Formats: sequence, C-alpha cells, structure tokens
Amino acid sequence: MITVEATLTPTTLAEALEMRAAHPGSVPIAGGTDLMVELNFDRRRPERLLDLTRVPELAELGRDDGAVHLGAGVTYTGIVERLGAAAPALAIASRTVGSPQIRNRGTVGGNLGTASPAGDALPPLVASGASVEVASARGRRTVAAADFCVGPKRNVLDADELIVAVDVPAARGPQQFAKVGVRNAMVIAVCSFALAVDARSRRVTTAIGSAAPTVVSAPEAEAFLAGALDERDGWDRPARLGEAELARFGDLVAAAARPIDDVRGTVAYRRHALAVLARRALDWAWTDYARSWA
Amino acid sequence: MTTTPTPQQHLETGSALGHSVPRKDSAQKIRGQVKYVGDTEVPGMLHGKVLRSEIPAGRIRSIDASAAEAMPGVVCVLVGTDLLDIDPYYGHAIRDRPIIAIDRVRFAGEPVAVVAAETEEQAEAAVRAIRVDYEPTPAATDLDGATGPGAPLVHEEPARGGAFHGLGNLPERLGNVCYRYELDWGDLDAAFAAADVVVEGTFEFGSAYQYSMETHACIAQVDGDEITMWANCQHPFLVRAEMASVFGVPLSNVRIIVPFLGGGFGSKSYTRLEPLTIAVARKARRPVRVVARVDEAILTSRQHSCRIHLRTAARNDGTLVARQAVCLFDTGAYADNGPRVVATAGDAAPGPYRWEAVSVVADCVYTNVSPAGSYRAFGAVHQQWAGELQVDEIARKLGIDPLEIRRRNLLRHGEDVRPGGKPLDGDLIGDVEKAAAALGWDRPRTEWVGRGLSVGVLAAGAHPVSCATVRMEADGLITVNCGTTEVGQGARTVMPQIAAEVLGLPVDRVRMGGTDTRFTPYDRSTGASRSTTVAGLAVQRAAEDLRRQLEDMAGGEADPAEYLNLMRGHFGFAGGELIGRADVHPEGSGSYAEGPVFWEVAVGAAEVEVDPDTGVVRALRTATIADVGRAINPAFVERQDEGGGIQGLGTGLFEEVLFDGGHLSTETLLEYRVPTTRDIPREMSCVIVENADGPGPFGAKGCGEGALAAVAAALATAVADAGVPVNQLPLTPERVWRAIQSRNDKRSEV
Repeated sequence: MITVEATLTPTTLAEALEMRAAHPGSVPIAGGTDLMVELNFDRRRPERLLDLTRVPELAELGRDDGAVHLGAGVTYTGIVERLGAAAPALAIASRTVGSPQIRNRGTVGGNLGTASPAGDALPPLVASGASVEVASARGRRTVAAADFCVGPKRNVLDADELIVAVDVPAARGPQQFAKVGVRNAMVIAVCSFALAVDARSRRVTTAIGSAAPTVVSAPEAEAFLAGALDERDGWDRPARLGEAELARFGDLVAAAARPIDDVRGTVAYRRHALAVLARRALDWAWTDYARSWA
Repeated sequence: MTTTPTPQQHLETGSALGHSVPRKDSAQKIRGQVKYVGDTEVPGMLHGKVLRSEIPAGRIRSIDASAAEAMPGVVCVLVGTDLLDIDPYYGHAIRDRPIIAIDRVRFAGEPVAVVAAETEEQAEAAVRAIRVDYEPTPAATDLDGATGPGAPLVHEEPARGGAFHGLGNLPERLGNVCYRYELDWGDLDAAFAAADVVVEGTFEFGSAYQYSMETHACIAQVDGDEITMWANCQHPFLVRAEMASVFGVPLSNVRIIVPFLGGGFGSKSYTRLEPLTIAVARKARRPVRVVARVDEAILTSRQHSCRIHLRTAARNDGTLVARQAVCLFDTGAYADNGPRVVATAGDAAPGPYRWEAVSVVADCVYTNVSPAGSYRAFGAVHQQWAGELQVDEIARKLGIDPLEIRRRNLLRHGEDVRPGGKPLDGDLIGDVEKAAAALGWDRPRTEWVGRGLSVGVLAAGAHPVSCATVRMEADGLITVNCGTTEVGQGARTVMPQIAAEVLGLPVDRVRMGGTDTRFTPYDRSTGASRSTTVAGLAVQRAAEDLRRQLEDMAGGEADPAEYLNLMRGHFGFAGGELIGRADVHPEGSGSYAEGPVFWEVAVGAAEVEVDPDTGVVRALRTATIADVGRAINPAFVERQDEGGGIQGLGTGLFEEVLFDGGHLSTETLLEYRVPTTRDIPREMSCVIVENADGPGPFGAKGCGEGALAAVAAALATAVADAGVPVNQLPLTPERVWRAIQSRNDKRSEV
C-alpha cells in the first residue's frame, strides 16, 4: 500500500529542478517500474514523489553530430521502435526488458537512477561510450556512462540533480547484447554482456552486467582482441574469428567480472555464462562486420 | 445410467453433452464484472493487516501494541493472548497451528498480530507501529537442519489429530517427522539381489508456489455465536466444520459464502486466512476483510519440496522387478496437508509398473519455514520425474527404447496399483502410445534435442461425499445447487450440462451459482480432480430424481416440452417447484485405503532443446493425455491439460520458492518465475481419451492434475535423452550446465 504525502508535478525542466532543490527528500518517478515495487513492499517511504512524466524536455529523442540525444524519459518501447540502427545494442537490450507493459513504461533514465548492475540498458550504454547529462538548478554537467554508477544502487547524482538525457554515439559498426536468465521474458539477468565494434576508430568495446557491483568493461579482453586483429590485419581483411580467439576473449571477459553468489546464480556459473555470452556476441558482431562493414 | 444421445438429439435439445459449450461466466469475467472476495464490501467493514514474524524460530517475550492502538482509524489489534478463551489451534490433518502466534513463532512470516482499522492505509501504518520482543531460538530451516542429530524441534507439544486427517491412528512424532507413510510388498532384498541391473540416485525437488492470480481473501462477521464469512475457499464445508470447532459454535452457525475464485490450484484448499479473520472480527465487533499480498500468499501456502532416494532394479530382458524409495518432504512449520501429500506421494512412488517388490518410506518433516500444502497433482508431481528418469536410465543401459520398456512393464486395466484399494481403471499403454505418437516419437533426432515420455497415476477423488439438488421453478428454468467451487475449471458450465443432458433441456435453461453453506447442499471439497466425477455424479442423480418426479406426473415418459404443463397440472396453478435431490457416498468402508475413487492418469511427452554452453533448456513441444472416460466438455478438458501442462513447465524449468536462512527470498513475481507467453512451447497437444471407464456421470473421470506431473517429468526425461540427466528440479540453466560439466569430467577421466 502506497502512503505518499504529496506528488509534485512539474511541467518544465526548470520547474522540476527547482522542486528537486526545494524538496531534497522527494524521489523522482518516471515509468515507476522499479520505484512502485519499492513502495508497494514498503521498502521506501518517500515524503514526496517528483513526477517527471509531464516534462517535455525529458521525452526528447533526436540526433545531432553523430550522437543520439535520448531524453531520460524515453521508454524502452520508444528505443526499440526508433533506435534499432543508431544504437543497436541498446535496442536489443531494450527488447529484452521486462514485458511489453514494462517496456511501455520503463525508461533509460530510470535504469540509471536505480543504478542496479542488472539494469539491462546499462551495459550497452557503457560499451557504446555514452554519456549522461545531469542537471540541477545550479547548472549542467556530463558524466561518462561508465562512471555514472558507483556501486549497487548508488550513482553520482547529487541530492538536487536530475538525469536529463543520455547521449549515445551513433553506432559505427555492429553491436550486440546478450543475457542469460532463467526464463525467456520478465527476468532479471543472471549476467549480461554488451559489445560495440567501432569500424572508424577500429576498436571493440565491452561491458558486463549483473556480475560486479557496477557495470564494468573488460579492458584485457579488448586489448587481446585489438592485438589479435592487428596481427593479421583483421580490420581490413576481416574473416570469422577462430574458436581459440573467441574462447580466449570469452575467458578474459569472464576474468574481468567480479560476480557474487545470490538467488539467481553462483559465481562459477556467472563467470562461465559470461564467457559464453562474450564469445557468442563477438562471433555474431565480427561476422556481421566481415560481411557488411569492412 | 443414461445412454449417449445421438447427434440428432444434441441438435434437438441443445444440451450438448460432449460438446464444447462456451463458459457461462466468460463474458462476465472478461468485462471485469465478476466480484471476488477482495471486491466485496460489507456494511461497517474494517480492513485487516497482518504483522508477520521477522525470525524463523523464537519465543515472543512481549508485544507492545499500545502505539498502534492509539493511531487514527485503528479499532483493535489482535494478539495471541486474545485467543486464550478458545482452543485456538487448527489443522485438518494435525491440529498444530495457532490462529496467530501465541508464545512462540515457528517461521519467518508467521502471523503475530492483526490490526483492524477503518482503511487499509491506517491498518498498514499501525502494523508498523507494533513492537515485538523476540528471543530467537535455534531454527531448522531445511531438511538437513531438521533431520540431523540434535536438530531443534519445531514442535514440542504432543501431536493432536485434526478433524479430517483420514490417516488412521496418528503415530508418535519422531523428532521433526510428523507423519510417516509406508508401503511394502514382495521380498525387496531378494528381488534386488536377483536383478541384473540396479540404478540408484538421490533426487531433489524444489518447492513451487501455486500462483493463482487472486490471492487469499476473507471477510468475517461475528454476531454472538453466528459467524458469517465471504471467503475464497476451495473446500468451504470443511472450513466451516473446522471453524465451528475452533471457535466453539454449532456447525450450522458458521456460514461461508463463496463467490468466484480467481484460481486456486490447491493454495485455497482447507483453512487459510479464515481463523485469523474471524478472530480479529470477534475482537473488533465489526466485519473485517483481510486480503493477502502476493508475498503473503506465498507464505500462506506453497508446494512441498522433497528429497527422494530411489533404487530401481530390472532384468536384462527389460523387466522391471523392484523399487525402493526413501523420501523426505519439507512441510514447513505446520503439517497443513502434508500428511496427505506424503501418503499420495508414497502411493505414486513405485509408478504404475508390475513390480515383484516395493518398499516406500515417506516422511513428512517439520521445518522452520512457511507451511506447504496442496498443489495440483501433489504426490505424483513429486515422484513421477524421479521414477521415470530411472526407468529411462535402465532402458539406456539395456538398449531398449523408452516407449518399449514402458509397453512391457506398465500395469494393465484391472491390475493392482498397490495391494488393497482400487485396481487400475485406465489404459496406460494405450495412453503412452498416443502421447508418443502425438510428439512424433520416431521422427529423426538432432544433437541436443531430447524427447521424453512419462507415465504415472495419481490417487484422485478424495473422500467421495457430495450432495446436490436440481430445482425446477414455475418458469421452467432449472437451478443446479451443488457445493463445488467455480475455481476456473468450468464447474458452473459443466454441472448445468450434466443436468441438461438428463432432463433433455437446452443447457441455457440451466444455471448454477456460488456456494452459500447455509443453503447449498454439502460437497466435501473442490480438488483432487473430483468435481465432475463426484459432485457431477450427485448432480446427475439429482436431475434423474427430478425427471422421475416428472415421469410420475406424466404416468410414463415425460416430454421436456410438457414439463411446465405437468407442473401446472400437479400444483393446480402456475406456481410451486420441483426439487430433485441425491447424494454420492462411499461404498464399502469409505476409507482412503479402499480408494481412490479413480486413478487419474498422468501421461505426457516432451521435446526440448538444450543449449550445451549455457544450460538453457527450451521446451519445444509437449503432448498430454486427458484420459477422462467421457469428455463432458472437450474444450474444458483441453484447457485443463494446457493449464496443468504450463504449470508442469514452470515446475520443470523455472519455478522455485527459495528461502535464505528461513527467510523467503522469492517474494515477488519477478524473482518467483512462472512461465510467460514467451516460454510456452510452440506446440502443446492434448489427446482426449474416452473409454467410458470412469465412476462419474456418463463414465467420466477427472483430469487436469495429471498433466502437471506428466509434463514436469517428461521435461526431465527429455533433457536426459538430450544427454544430460539432472537429478534436481527445476532444471535451471545453472543446474543443467553443472550436469553437463560433470558428464564431461567423467568422459575425460575415461
């Protein structure tokens, strides 16, 4: 049962930021797919909710300068429908979030606000080098998605700040996202993995979900792959990667994780499954690169 | 017995026995017009909220509810000491459970206090203001903790039998074992010694939650020694008797009104929130409504988890000769329906094969976690997968096809399932052949795709007592009065079909409402696949009684078109009414030992794909057999098998209630995973078998539970067929992956 004294309903970003500053005890709500669970279970009793659904700036979705500007209030359904080409990993991940009803409500801003390492949108943001736009009545700042979360359910937001948008560099190569859960839909990932191939800067970047206190990348795996590709001129004369290379990449990704045992899975299984996901994601993405991007 | 009508008769009368008459309640339900208990309001009604124990075991030193009592809108706070004027323990099998905790708590989540307030919000706020001082004591939070040396005792007081235990004399408790079921025949040692092949293993079965969309709910009103309830009970007449006994009032002073139920699957069997709701209403002197949240519903009833040590012996020619099962069932802090679950599981443990020798010992064990009770196909679902895995293991060792080894060993119609009781009344070999054919057993196979079969039987029908009346009023419309609860199975459509068939009337002239124990004839329970079979037989007989009255008036055959004229002739004006009545009661002593009413068939097949890297199992196709004797409504039979099959998929692959140190860790429907539409196999076929061999109306017998046990077991045998035998359900990706790892390790050792 929800017992909230009052709900603030700003209609502009400026108003929202003023309210945020005036009521530090207020909790922002967009889709409510995380927060309502907390309220229903009485795990939180905020004095006020700050309803962001009427703020038009947060619903913006546009492209400029090779980046996608994604308002914090854009839903997963919106991402699936509109960003399949510009942000493929994010779109794939969005497709796996919850159920259709949850995708119609849930937002990337909410994923960042909750800052769970199991947030499905976070590995694609980190792998694709996205940045998070944060604002307060004092001004604006930009934080790299990789630095935004600082621990389980903890992020860099100050008490008077709101997440305004995410800027995602438009994809310059194939991207992939994969996760393992116990059933096919409506499931919190046991672990997940995102990967972005950047054909212009000739880099492959990675991110691991649900297997460390925050989403982390796998720099050793990235470096190994960069070396292997350089050695055989892989970017200019791409061919499918060999089993041994894929396996080594997977192992290095698994080694970068710092998983725990919990109700969804054990350390051993999480590491193993991550290696499998990383191997498969790289194989799919690189095969795709070889076919159409080189 | 009425003979089957010709198709022409169906057209003439529209009674449509054997036709898929649409559900009478579907339009109402789809439009959201059905009122469930949680939608029902009674004048002056308060809202009740429950404070639950935070620790799995301990003594209650003190409860301070003074702050809560002073809060706005709060009418009263019920605590254990309010119950000392009555004998405040209930439990239909073993009377071991206090209405709310009195001096000690036995599981995290046990009700400790109940607040009644004007609004739900006020009641919730007051619950948070109650302070309980606990003295924690050692807890036995799982089977190991409850059965090892020096295990803390969950109950120390002597056991008392409940009103409906039906288990013979209650034996002395052995530590935390509150009930033991044993089944033996033949010379086990000799049979094992003489066998050529012996397989042996330990099997772990995880607890599922019944997950009905509607949670438990009850409204209680107490006026002197009259108790009225609106409750979503599957067994209102048993609850009525138990509440009369606990609160010390005459049986007929307890009245339970049961509207539609939003599913039950056993979670609403026997007594649930009723006693604490009555107790708080008694203290408040006003009606109180209590509606459980999902996490509270999980803590109110769940399925038993169990551990089975199983040995099976066979000869080189594929003849199965002996089986031994030693089983431990975790019933949680209170026995609930555990003893019956364990006895049914004991009967299911051998599997329906022709054994020379069998030994089963099944223990019902108390632990300091939430109580386990009935869930669709209980007993069978616990045992069938393990037994069938061993049948297949023997088949693999001997190079015999799984279908063939079953053909050779399955019991035939009329053979004893166990010594005493009803012999097999179905055609299992025909059934498993149909399941294999429906799945395409002989189609070519590919790597990591497995196919499995499973066969079992389930003691069904419970105690066969049902009464019914069929009433014809002066407008010629018929009302069936029958205490079966419409729990989603279609009872309020099927019972009218049965009466319409007997009376030769169109089914839209016949209706059936909900139960009000003050007016509705007695029915023991809605469960054990008994409604159509047992209550339906009472309805058939009551309709025949009504027809006989009309025939007496006609002096011979009564033409349905003349019913109203016959009535008018009898009463002399357009008034009066005719009531046909009948009952079903046990023949012989009526004991369970002579039962069951029928053996429900649990036969299925499944095809799965295993991802060898991640261990993820995908169910591709399932087939189930609805061996129903006679399908009164074929579409309902198919829906029963689909529903049971999907729950079998959940039990087989996803669903598990988990505790961490006695605390429920799967308290939301995100962490507790029922199958979603994305998990449903692309093909689920249900083959209806009609051999008219059931004891119910027109040769019918029940269905719907067997499919759960059959599908869960067939998934396990299919995953084993893909190369990965796993001795643990559900088959989560991690467990399957570990089984693949250990298989690979063994291979590399060789």
